[in-house]
Amino acid sequence: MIFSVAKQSLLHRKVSVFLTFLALLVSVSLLMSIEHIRKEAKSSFYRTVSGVDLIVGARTGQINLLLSSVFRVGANANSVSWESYQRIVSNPQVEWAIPLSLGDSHKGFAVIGTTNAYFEHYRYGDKRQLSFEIGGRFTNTMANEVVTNSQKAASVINHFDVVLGADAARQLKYKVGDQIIISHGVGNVSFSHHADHPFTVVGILRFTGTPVDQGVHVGLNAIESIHVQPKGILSKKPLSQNSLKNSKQAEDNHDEHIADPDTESTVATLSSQVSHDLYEHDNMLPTQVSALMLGLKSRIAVLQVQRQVNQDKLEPLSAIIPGVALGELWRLVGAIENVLRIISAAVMIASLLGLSTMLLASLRERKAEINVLRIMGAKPSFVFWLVQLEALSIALGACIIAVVSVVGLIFLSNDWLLAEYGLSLSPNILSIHILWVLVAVLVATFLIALIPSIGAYRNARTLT
Amino acid sequence: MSDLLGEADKDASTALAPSVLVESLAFSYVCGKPIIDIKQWHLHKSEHVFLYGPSGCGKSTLLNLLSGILAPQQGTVNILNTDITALKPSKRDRFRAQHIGVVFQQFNLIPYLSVLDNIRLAIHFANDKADTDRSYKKNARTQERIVSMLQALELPVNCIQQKASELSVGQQQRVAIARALINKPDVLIVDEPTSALDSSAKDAFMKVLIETATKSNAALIFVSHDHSLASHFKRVESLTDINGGPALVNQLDSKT
Repeated sequence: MIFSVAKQSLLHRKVSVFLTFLALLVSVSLLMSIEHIRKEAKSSFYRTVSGVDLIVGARTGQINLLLSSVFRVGANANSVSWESYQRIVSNPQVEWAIPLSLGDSHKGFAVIGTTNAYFEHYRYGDKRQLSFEIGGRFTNTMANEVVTNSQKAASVINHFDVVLGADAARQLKYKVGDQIIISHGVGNVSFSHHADHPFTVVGILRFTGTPVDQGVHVGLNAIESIHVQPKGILSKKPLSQNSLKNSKQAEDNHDEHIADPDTESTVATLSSQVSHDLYEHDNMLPTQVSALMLGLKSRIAVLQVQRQVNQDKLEPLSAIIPGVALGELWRLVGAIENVLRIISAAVMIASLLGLSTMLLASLRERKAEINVLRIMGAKPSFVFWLVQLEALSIALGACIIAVVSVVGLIFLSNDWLLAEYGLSLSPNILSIHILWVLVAVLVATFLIALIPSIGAYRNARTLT
Repeated sequence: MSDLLGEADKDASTALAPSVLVESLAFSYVCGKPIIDIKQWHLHKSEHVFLYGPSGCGKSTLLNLLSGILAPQQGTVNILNTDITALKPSKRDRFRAQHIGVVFQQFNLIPYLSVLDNIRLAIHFANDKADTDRSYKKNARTQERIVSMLQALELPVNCIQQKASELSVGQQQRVAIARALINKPDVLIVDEPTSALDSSAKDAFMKVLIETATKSNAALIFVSHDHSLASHFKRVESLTDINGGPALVNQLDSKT
């Protein structure tokens, strides 16, 4: 009976009830969207990289290195020399390595110089491997033979093939087989286009929802060749000498640390192979990489290898654990999320106070009604719960409609968000967390509606 | 569940006792002079009384005391041998719903509820918690009872689904009688029910009120400052004669 009375009482005051309902609907929707987006942003943030044990770059802060290597935001001015790369890769604890050469762009998309190890070992989300929408990895990988001999050393010679991230391919409207020109420098407009080096699109990656989607991936040596002058004969000889010297250094270095005849021979083979390539195939050996991602044989070794890299005597390097760095970066970003939360909670409380005011104002005209209820034999508690029920059903209605409309809105705007911002929101907002938010809204409604309902209760008690 | 109680049971238990017995009743809103001060007053079963009271003599207060909405500082109010001042508040509310019907000067109905729901609400409050029988058969029986009650009060049957606020004042007052009598109360308290009605409606209203009250065997306490209505009653009393209190505070208590 009380439900029927509450329902008809609300219907009786349609307009003010509807306005209050709208205010609550907007604030509950806001609260829910912010919570949902926050959760999605956080999970997609932590999903950007996984399965990588260490990221190594030139000496810098861990957030800088994370931003430049994973998010392709900003560039580390310093690089890791090729000999250091060799040295780290030949560490027996290292299972695989992805070299990254960053800092270039193609029509606003980051160009990443890397090797096929990238497609083999890079993981995102729940340790998911990159997969191809169409096409495949870099072809023309002569040095891959070396790689198969020893997984540690990376293939170097991936001549002028391009693998595009999903967003990059879609927005640039490139297909497999297209020839593109890659310029030097970051930014949409570049001063020096190198028409001498047309690249061929060989593969397009599946959508991942990570910065990989915006990547234009080329072979590590290709980066070198867009940096040096065309037909850079001058640089050839010193470079090859240098590389030989480097590998010598690397060997020395390893003697210091661990005596591993296998590694030594591999490095030697690689360097000889590489220097051979230099002469035979007009390919350039990278002199440096921006960063490298490492997978270790055992996770227990992470801290040990990190310390070794950080204490490297020959070159100032930094090694970061991605999870730790992501956590630190998120704490930075997290301040904003808290501000958003506080704002939406404040909006929520404001609209609940509006609800309370509406009910309180109605009490004046309901005085006679309360008298009638009392004279019929209603307990004061009936009046209390009548007012509470009205408040709670407005709030519950607002919650339900808010869930429906937020789900609908995400559903409708998903394609657009994906196209415009590369943002993929799950329309499934009903997590335990959101349910707690809704419970919190109802509890807050109950508490704030105590003001009018206790007023009504006291009216009913004293009947003045 | 007074509607299921046989009339015979009621008669047996209350044959000797008066319907209403008030003894050494005293009440004041603020500390000081009492508004109500009644040594002894009683009303027999099925007896009708016209209480004449000018405004400010404490009649609304007395009616609230009799119906158990206000608790007196002193004395007892016995309705059918039950001292309602000794009951717990929740029991008193239930007792009021089952045994006392009240009709005010105006605002007797919940404006946004239909006539049917207004009366059903009164039945709801009179029912015991244990009674959760919501069967269709019982609903139909209840509705039948409401319809026959409305017909006895010469109300159109089709008004049953109308909102209370859509009825004329005279119709509203008749629905109020129906609501007050639906639980077959032992005492019907009526407070200036005709002050909002014109004289022809007034007479028609008085006629159906006395008729239905007589038919339902309820004791009737009719309070008014309109002496012309006294002709409908055998027992006529002046509230100022019964009440020793208000003579002194007459000027102070202009609101009640």
